[in-house]
Amino acid sequence: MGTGVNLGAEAGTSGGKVSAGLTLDFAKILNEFSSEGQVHVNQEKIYFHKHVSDYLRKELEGIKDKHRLVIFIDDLDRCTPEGALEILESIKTFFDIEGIIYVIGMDPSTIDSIIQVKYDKNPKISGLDYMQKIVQLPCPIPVWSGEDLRRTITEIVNETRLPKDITDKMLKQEIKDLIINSAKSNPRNIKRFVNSLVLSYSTSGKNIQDIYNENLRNYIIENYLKGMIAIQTFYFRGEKWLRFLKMINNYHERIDS
Amino acid sequence: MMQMINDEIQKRNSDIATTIWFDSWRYEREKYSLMIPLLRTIILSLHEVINSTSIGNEKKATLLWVLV
Repeated sequence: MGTGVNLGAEAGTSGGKVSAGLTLDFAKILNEFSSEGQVHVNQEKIYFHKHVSDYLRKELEGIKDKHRLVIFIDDLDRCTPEGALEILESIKTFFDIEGIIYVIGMDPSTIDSIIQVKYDKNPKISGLDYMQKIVQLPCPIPVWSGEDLRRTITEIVNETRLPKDITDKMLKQEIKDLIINSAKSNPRNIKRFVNSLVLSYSTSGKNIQDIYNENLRNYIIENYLKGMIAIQTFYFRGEKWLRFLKMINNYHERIDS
Repeated sequence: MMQMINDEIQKRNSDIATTIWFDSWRYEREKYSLMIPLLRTIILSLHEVINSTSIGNEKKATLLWVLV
């Protein structure tokens, strides 16, 4: 064996150094790992295991009875289909090693698009069939119940710094159900939705707090809230929504002045 | 859910299992291959495991040879 190769540098960078201070191309090294078990760097021949998986297998040999590595690979569906496929294929082909357990998090509805990359839209091969060959224990996330979603809204709203009388209104059952329907029962959408409502109150809703007559104020708050939910649900998303808030703000400022 | 499983393993089985978290999307723009940062993360964790368990110095030396 010759000079050691640095695979342990800071994660996320592509470069690396051998002990002599030379910069290596990791992609090239990996390719050569899988072929000849040696690489030439500045005319120096460096030997290593034939494949990096051989190295991992060998190192885990001594500890596999006592210890496990559990690797969580999250948000695989947020990668490109090519990137996700590369990880899945590598795990299946090279890194299915005793002592290593992989926990993969991904939206199953994206699997088909990943498989299409590999099998060129062959209708006979579905994403589910492919995943069944890789994943030993599928664990679908249960759908959130209405009660769970309502509790989540309560938690999110209570974390805001809005006045209590406003949060009390937001926590009414009918408003919660409106939010759940608007966000299509998706917890992430609900959080975004509530944050957006909070933002709207913090900007365009500020004048409501100045209204002296409490009955009138309550009436406005409740209808304002419903109005905001309705507007956001049916007409505005993302940037459009922010533009709308800005427009309302400008309007208020003109009225105030 | 993944985080819950991770927390549970760390709470109950930290003596027999080491968890490694890999946010694949963070390395989406990796120049060559997503496997490179993943492998690097695995090997670094393996290094920590071997250092913290009662494996002989010879084993540690082999690993260090790869990591140097």
